[in-house]
Amino acid sequence: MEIDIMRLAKLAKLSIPEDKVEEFRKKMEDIIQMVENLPDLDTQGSLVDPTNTMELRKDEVQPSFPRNEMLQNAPYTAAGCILIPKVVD
Amino acid sequence: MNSNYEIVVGLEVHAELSTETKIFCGCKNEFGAEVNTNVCPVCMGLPGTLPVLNEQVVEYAIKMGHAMNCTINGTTKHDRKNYFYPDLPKSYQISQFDIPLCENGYLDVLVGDEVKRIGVTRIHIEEDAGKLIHDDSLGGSLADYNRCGVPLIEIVSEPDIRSADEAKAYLDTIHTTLLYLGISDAKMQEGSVRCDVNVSVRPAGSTEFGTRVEMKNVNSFSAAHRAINYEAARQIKVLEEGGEIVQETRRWDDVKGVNVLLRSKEDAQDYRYFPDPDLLTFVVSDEKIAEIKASIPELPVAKTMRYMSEYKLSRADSELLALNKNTAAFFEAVIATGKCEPKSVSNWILGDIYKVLNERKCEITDLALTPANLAEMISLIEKKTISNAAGKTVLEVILDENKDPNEIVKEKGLAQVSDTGALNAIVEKVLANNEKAVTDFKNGKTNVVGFLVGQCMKESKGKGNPAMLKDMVVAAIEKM
Repeated sequence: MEIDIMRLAKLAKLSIPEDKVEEFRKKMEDIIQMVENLPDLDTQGSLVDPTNTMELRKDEVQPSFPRNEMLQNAPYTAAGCILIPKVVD
Repeated sequence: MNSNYEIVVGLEVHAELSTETKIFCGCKNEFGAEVNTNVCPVCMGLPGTLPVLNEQVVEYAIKMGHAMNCTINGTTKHDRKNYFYPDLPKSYQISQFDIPLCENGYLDVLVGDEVKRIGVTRIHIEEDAGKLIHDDSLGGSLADYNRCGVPLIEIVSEPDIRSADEAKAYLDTIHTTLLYLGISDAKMQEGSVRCDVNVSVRPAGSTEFGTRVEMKNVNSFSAAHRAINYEAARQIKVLEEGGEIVQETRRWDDVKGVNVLLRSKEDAQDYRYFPDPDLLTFVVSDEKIAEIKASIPELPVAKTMRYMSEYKLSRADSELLALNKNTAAFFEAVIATGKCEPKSVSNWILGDIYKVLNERKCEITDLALTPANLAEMISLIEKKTISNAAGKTVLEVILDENKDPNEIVKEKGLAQVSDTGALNAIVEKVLANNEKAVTDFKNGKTNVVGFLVGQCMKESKGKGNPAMLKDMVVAAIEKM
């Protein structure tokens, strides 16, 4: 299987140095090979399974998470927000 | 627009649903809250959390599906749409890919006096992303995740739209439909409804589609109108100059009235959809789907058409009445009393009452005015008990007070004088005081009769029966 490692890197917003491309390509190939080796799942052409369905939730408000605790997960914060590098797109 | 070309437009409309909570967690779905206060591990996408679908979202989306004449897929699932952007903490959006909740529908819209049917490809449910606030002083962007997980429906149209006017009519109809169904507050200024616009052009008469260009950042329906005309003109110019349209995404700048290239086809997003393993198949029973269908009220376009045929109202008046759910219900309640003509009811609502609603910036339901009182007031005019002018006086009272118009007429002495003796005296006095007008009338300037009747009305303190006065004025002059 042909792997375009640069395209994957672009989609994942990763920068891969030129001299590492071959190494990553090989690793990616191994991962895909491993997945290929998994037994096929018979989905009968459809991925919905009416025999195994989920319960829906009532539209009732539950308490949210305290902001100060949530923000502790972020490396940088400002004005109650997570501060991230400037994004223009 | 160059008539050698036809414009082809397809629209993707996103509407936030006005549920109490978000689509996959119990956080409040609320606009304008303090930043990052309506968030939890689920909508922040922390590892080890599981989304649970809100049943109200499913019901609201099915409502819209019925309103847009869709087939409802009672057995469906969620898929992940993958893309990296900091407004999306999970780096994927939970959406629906190959089995949308609703599909293959249509919406009839009024364009001028014509009904135009626009195909609806699909309506699916998905979660909204957060908001980024760009702040140069901090050298970065601030991420507010309150909007993450707010429920959205995405309505995708067929490329059936042929002009900016049709696009505007389609968007307006979606807007009023959302409000009628009570499933979205549909506030454009708060971003509750947003749209992406796909535009292509082709030589008139051609059956093949041209290459389409997608436009982002179209933030209002009037902006959509401008953006479509701009993009169509741009494409026609390129073609006329022998160029070629390339598939790309452009960004609309409404202030400058231009669009600029955002990304080319080579840079197109590859969303790598796959079924979301965190969410199982969900089933809505046929009974439930039918029950939701039965709850759909008559919608604005159908109402407009009915008002035109049943009440013989103009297209413009019918649409104005039907556009607002509350006004339409009020209008129908007045008609239902059977006391007065639909045309007079329409005139009063769209005239004096609308003026008040605009001045007070409120809805008809915010007034103390009841359909019964308005019907009674109008019927008093129609029975000639009071004049039109006295009707306005009664209206001023019943707008803010639930009071029987008959009582007001009595209290204020508004009953019209139809007694010939009393009116004759008035006519004689007015004619004697206005010799010049009488002479003018005799010399063929018959339109001065309006002035003379006006003087008589003034003399009678608005209580004279104007129709009778007119006849009497004419008769009196002719006898002179």
